[in-house]
Amino acid sequence: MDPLQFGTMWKTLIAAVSDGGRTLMRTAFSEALREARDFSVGLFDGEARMIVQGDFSPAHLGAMPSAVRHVLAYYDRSDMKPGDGFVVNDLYMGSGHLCDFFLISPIFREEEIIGFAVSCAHMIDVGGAVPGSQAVEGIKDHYQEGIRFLPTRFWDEGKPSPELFRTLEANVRVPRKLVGDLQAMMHCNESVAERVITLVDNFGPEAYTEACDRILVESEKEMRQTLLKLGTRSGHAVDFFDDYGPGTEPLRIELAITLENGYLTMDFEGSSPQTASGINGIANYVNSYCYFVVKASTDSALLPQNEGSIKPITIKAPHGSIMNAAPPAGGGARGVMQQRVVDVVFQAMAEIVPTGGMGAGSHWANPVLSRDGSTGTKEKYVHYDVIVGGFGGRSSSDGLEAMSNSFNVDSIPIEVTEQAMVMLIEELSFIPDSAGAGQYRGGHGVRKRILMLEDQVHVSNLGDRQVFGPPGILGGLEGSKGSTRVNPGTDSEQIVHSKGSVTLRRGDTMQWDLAGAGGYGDPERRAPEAIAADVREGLLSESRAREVYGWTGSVVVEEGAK
Amino acid sequence: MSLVVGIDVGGTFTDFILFSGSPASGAMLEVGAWKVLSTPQDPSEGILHGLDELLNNYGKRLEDIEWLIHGTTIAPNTVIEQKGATVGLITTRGFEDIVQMGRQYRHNPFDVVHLQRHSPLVTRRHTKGVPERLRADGTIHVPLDEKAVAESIQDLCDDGVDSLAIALLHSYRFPEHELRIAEIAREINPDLPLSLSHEVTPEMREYVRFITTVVNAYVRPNFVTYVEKLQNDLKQRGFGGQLLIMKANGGVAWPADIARIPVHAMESGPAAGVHFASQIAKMHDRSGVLAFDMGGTTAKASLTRDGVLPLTDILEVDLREMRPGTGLPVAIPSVDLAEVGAGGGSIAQVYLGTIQVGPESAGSEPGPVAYGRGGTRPTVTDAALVMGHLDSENFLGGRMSLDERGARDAIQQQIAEPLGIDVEAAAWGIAEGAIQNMVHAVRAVSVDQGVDVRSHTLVATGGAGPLHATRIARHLGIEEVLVPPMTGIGSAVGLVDAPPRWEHIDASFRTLSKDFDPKGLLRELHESCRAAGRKTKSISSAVLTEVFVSAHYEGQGHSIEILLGQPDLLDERVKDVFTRFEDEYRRLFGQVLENSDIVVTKIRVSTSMVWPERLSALKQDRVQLDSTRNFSTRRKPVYAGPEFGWIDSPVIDRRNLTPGEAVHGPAVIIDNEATCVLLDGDTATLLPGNLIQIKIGAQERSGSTQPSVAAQDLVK
Repeated sequence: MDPLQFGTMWKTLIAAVSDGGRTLMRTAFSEALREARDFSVGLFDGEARMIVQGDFSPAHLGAMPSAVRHVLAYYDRSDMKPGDGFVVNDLYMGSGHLCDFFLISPIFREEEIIGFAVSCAHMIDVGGAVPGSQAVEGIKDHYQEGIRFLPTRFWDEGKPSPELFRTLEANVRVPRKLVGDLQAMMHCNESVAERVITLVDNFGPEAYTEACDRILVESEKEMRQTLLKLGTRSGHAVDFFDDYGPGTEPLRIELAITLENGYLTMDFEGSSPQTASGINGIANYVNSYCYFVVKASTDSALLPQNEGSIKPITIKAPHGSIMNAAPPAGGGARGVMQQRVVDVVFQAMAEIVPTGGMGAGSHWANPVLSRDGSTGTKEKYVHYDVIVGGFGGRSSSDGLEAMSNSFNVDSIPIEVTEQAMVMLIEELSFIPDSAGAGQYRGGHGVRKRILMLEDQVHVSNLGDRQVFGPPGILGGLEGSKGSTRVNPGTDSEQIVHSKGSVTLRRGDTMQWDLAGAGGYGDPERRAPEAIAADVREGLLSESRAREVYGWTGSVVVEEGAK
Repeated sequence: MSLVVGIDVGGTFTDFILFSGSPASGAMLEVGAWKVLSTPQDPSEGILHGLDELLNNYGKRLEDIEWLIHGTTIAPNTVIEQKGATVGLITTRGFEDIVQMGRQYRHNPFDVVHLQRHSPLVTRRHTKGVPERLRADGTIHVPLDEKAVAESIQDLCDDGVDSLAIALLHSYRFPEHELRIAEIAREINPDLPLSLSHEVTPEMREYVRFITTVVNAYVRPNFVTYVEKLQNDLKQRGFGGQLLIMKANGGVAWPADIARIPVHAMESGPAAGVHFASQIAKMHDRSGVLAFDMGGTTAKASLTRDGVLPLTDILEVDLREMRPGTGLPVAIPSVDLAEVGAGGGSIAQVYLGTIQVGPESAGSEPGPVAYGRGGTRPTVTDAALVMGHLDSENFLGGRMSLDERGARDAIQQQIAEPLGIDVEAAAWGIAEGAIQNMVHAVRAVSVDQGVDVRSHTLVATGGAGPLHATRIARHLGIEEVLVPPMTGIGSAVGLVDAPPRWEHIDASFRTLSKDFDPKGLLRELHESCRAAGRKTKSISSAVLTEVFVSAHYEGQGHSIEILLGQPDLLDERVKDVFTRFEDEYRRLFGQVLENSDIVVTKIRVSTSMVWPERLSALKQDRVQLDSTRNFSTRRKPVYAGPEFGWIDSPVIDRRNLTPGEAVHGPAVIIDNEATCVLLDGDTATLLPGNLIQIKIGAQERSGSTQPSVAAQDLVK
């Protein structure tokens, strides 16, 4: 095919998916989609191969092909009609927890299926034991985590099924938002489908098929070229998850990577068995973040996402392990695991491609503060907080701060939070001396302290890296550990477990200290100017600078300045 | 004699435009243009020197100038070149790191190993948290510790801070503590320039307000020095008129006003250019306009209706390679533009079996291979030359010769050979790559704004705009392209007509149910109008005041803005706020939420002074701008794409076009500033005012010819 036409077609398909995402974001009802952009959009061809996935959440890269395959296992193509929409949120067929709903729409042209428009979105509640459907404690299996759909036809020739929507509405806590979000996904799929049909009308079905083939071939070729350049290498890493609830044991995550002949194999042999809790890694989800790190660490960040670009990568994990949990294990709180998957893969990849490695990140915290208004004042709220620390150190720069190196959501301003909920945030700051030292240090940990302005505030904590600090790589040092405390610095100070819960009263404060991220490279190689700059900026005490960097300098402070 | 002069300082050139006419009729009769090389070290040098030449050419004197309107890049350049003030920041204790933390979102989710954030322009060391805290409802949680404030400010001054930002939580509604801190600062050092967040941008969301305030503090001393020097220099030479400065909102301001909040001048040229394009179209009774400007490094597009510019709340400054998320956000009203790294200097390369264009650019130094200044990588300009779309003999009126051979070799070796295609096909593909980038950016904007671009008229400006306009129009299904005169200096022309405009913003929240009592809201709207009036200078000219209200459904996050109209209509219209909101919501999203309250998040009062009809001269006259000799039409082969190949086509001097005569494509129309390419089926005619109208003859075969489905069409 003429490369000009090929380029035009590829760009148009990427734009179709990207604009589908804009439509989804602008018509969605829930904040998770509108504000935090926790969704993805993809296009599959007639043979159900993923041709384009837009630049959305990395969590869905591995899950989307699985969702499409399972829909096709339940429904014969000959049974599909224009306007149909198939929903699946099963955690094993989808993305590892029930909150992610996939909507798959066949794209018809002249009575033939020429592809599938697919959207995937995080629903803020799908029922189950707790609001938000992401409980850790008390979860024995996924049946406690919310409503589950195996592939199901929700739209029949454009008509939504009232029975199915009624069933869905009866089982979730905020039905209006979920139904509105599903409708937005349908809008998105329709807009993607229309663009693809126009493209095929203009260029013809043969050219379209050829372009799809070639997109996959070129992408796979590019990824293989990138991997081939790295030679024959292997990498290995072991890291630990603190535990999966109060009174539980640490979880071991082990990864061996081999790279040979442009093919990369990742094996999680040696990792802990799956748990009876909401924390379990399901293959599709784990795989998504493995692909993510490989892309990020091998300079293929700009390579478009599709089935070709991930083809040279094979991921294995023992069945029934924490990295490949088997039914009926729950996965509602799996979001808290993704950071560790990313940490381990970056650590192992650093042995294969040092310039692409990164020290382990601060672990984020995702506590839910809620008040049901049943006692005391009638103030009611559910606040899903997202507290984000730093990246680990990298091959040419320090870790970025207050930004996740794995998931990707926007911050919610303090002024917005306080406008909506009766609470007062007392502090949001970096924790000096918390960064893992290195030639390039990790990002600093972040401290957030909230003052309760009402009684009866229930907090479900969700965090990690309070037992095992974030390790550094290639000689970089570990970052400081995190903690969660009620009324810190007072007589009534109390430690709260990273996955524990507590009920607070008016006047209580709760403080999250996130771990500092791990360093990259030997601290002795850190540039003296960089050490001095951290000292001058108040991020590094002189005593610690001497201790970890052997620093002998001093910061000249002009008279009168502090 | 009434003389109005516009001066637009760009990276390479400083552009001048002169309109003169009689004050009695208000109509402008004479138009003149000039262009000199910019003087980046001190832009005023180029301005004064070029102004002399302009006035000489047209037999005018500096004393004759009544209004001098200036678009300056001094504010953004101060950030880009990191030449700003040593900024100190006083903020709420506990939140010193807000500006260091920035935003969490990564625009390319996979870019983590090399990602860098923009410097926040203030160090942590120069950030001082002081004990004070207001709650969201304005009650005092921690009183202001004035002693700590005084000590902190003294420390900062001792440590070399020469511009102070004051930004506290919840100050956008409750500014008392910020105001008191400013008083204390003035007592300590009356000369220290102060930037208060509630004055710079009274918007909720602390990070963006804080960083906007810091940026303001950072650029302010430079900006003030520059404007004062320019005013003095002009005055010494006899200038007695009024200098005005262009703002990002499409309006202009008096120097004393903008000097306090120079962040409003963070962008000016593009806003003026869009104003020019939309006004030209409006004069010719076109309603929906796609203003398309393409220069050396980027292309910009904006969708306007009936001469009204779309505004956005946040502008990102100092982007790297036009990638969102790499710059600093500033919350100022600015003209909403889609900008992509696709200009004449954008570099093409082969990647994944396709031609990728930009965002890397050869800029003007070394520039395209064809410039012969050391550029070795093929660019969009090189491609245009190889296809015969640019004329090496008549480029920029013959002031610069182009190396066609070099351009051809670079494309042959770096693009055509690796892909196994002809050199001209490769050139076509390079242009196509740039066009695709722009087309997809325009379509994304049209999805966001809920408009169908097919009904729009494309107005092409910028040195490379007319060159690619007909192909862009084909892709978007647009049927008409207008190429105004003076395309290369469209921003300067826009300056002359941009009205003085002020925005007053009240960001208090109120929740309204469907049967709300309008009295309270009405009172607040009138109060906002009065406050806006107090800010307005006593100007003799007519003033247009418009009131806007932003709202969202209870529980949502992003507001939509609705126009309530002029203040004297408020009594009537305030009752309809809810209905108007629902109408707009339905237009954008296709449905309304039943039984939901709405939250009014912002009242904006926009006050504009109305100029006499300045651009009317462009409609009536044959604008004749230069004295170089016309060349007579000749023929040469022009490449019309792989389908048609080379076609022997006329190359026409724009000045030789006569009204009513139709030119059929393929053809090339050239003037001193730009080249306009007609493809097969296109027809160009000359409209009054030397405006070229092109009827597009065909549509491009791609997935883009249909509009993307606007949300309202999707809802069944």
